[in-house]
Amino acid sequence: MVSIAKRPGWIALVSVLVFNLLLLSLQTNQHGSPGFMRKWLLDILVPAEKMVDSGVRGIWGVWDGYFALVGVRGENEKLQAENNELHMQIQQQDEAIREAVRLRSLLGLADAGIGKTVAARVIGRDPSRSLQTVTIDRGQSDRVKVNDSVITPDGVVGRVLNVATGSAVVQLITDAQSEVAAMFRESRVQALFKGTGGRDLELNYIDDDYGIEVGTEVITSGLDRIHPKGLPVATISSIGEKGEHFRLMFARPRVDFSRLEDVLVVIEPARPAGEPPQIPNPRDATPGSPAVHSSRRNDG
Amino acid sequence: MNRVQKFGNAGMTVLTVIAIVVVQAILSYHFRVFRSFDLQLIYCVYYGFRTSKPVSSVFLGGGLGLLQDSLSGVAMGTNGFSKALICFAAASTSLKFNVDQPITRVFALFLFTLADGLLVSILGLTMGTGGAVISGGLMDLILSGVFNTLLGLMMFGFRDRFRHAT
Repeated sequence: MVSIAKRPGWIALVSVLVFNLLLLSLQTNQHGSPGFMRKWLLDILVPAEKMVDSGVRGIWGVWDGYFALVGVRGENEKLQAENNELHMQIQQQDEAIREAVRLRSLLGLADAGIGKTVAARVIGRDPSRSLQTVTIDRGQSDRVKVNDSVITPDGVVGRVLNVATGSAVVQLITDAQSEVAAMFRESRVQALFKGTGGRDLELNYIDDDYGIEVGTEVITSGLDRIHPKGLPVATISSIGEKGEHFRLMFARPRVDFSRLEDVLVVIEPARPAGEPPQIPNPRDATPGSPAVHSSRRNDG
Repeated sequence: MNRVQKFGNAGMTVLTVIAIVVVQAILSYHFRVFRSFDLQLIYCVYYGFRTSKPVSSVFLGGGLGLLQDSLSGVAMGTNGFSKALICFAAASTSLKFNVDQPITRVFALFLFTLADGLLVSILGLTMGTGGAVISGGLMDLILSGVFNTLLGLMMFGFRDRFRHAT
């Protein structure tokens, strides 16, 4: 029989595997919370990632600024015309917005803004195939917390999964483990959209008596207490055959995740209507805290 | 090898490991095709084949996997477990087989990719975070295996050329 002392490789393997299993078992009851080790490793990796990312962006910048300008003149003229047209539309809609604000204040509705947000830049993507996540360059020091909603002007991106000092990992809504409480913009029927792990979101258990068709817009309902109400989520892209009671539907997210660069993290959501006002804790207002801004949007 | 050299080599390996995880994250973000590659796994196999030292391979695989876990959304330890096992297997394989043969490398890289995907999936399902195979599909995993094999063969080829040149 071979002495175990003569098998240092096996001893090392068993030790490392047991260590990893212990780590895994520690997380079974607090899944998703940032462990000290994750935070520590993120703090080591993200500065290097930021450095490489800024180098890559610099190279892209040189390309975009000098070499990719062929044919820009024609595009510029087209955009100028489009800009003029949009200006006209804005002027027309401005009055409608003023009227809506006036009516809202008359009705005593709560502020429908999305709350305080902090701008962040996407600096990396999940290095493994398991989940669909991106890394952003804002973290605890910017008041970013786990489960904060991450959005862009186009729509919902996802939620914060893990936070380190100066960075955070964001789970995209298309991730197979992601769920978004949403509703159809026109009919206001509520539904739970699940990520598929691919490009689309999936909707199960919805009756087809609501007149939902391809192209129907989906917005957040706010019921998951993660994403503010009324943000664009996706558009119905395909509707499957009717089962016994329900239809399976797929929706294409409004955000193009392959071109995701800058995002907003909702660090302090606006109060939903009917909820008592929260008194801010003076300790939260630490000196040197990052600039945050309040943004408003028109509820869909 | 004196102590300074040992420290130098260890430092170089740590820097390489960090660089690989960072490069994978950046490339996956900028280029969609890189999501099918697993540079961490290729380096694990490469390191195991090159050194043929199971002990250092296990620690390298474990560390590399934990770094990968920290940037990913999976539970800490998932890739740490998987990569430690793969690295150990690669080092053990190099002790028993001639890993300079291209056919051995092809089989090893492809099978190690499949094994890694399955291990991560099983651990993911156990932890309730889903599995790569289930969410991405078995075809994605096989495709990833093909990509990893091709890239790995190229990298090993460079290594052979460098070794013969020196």
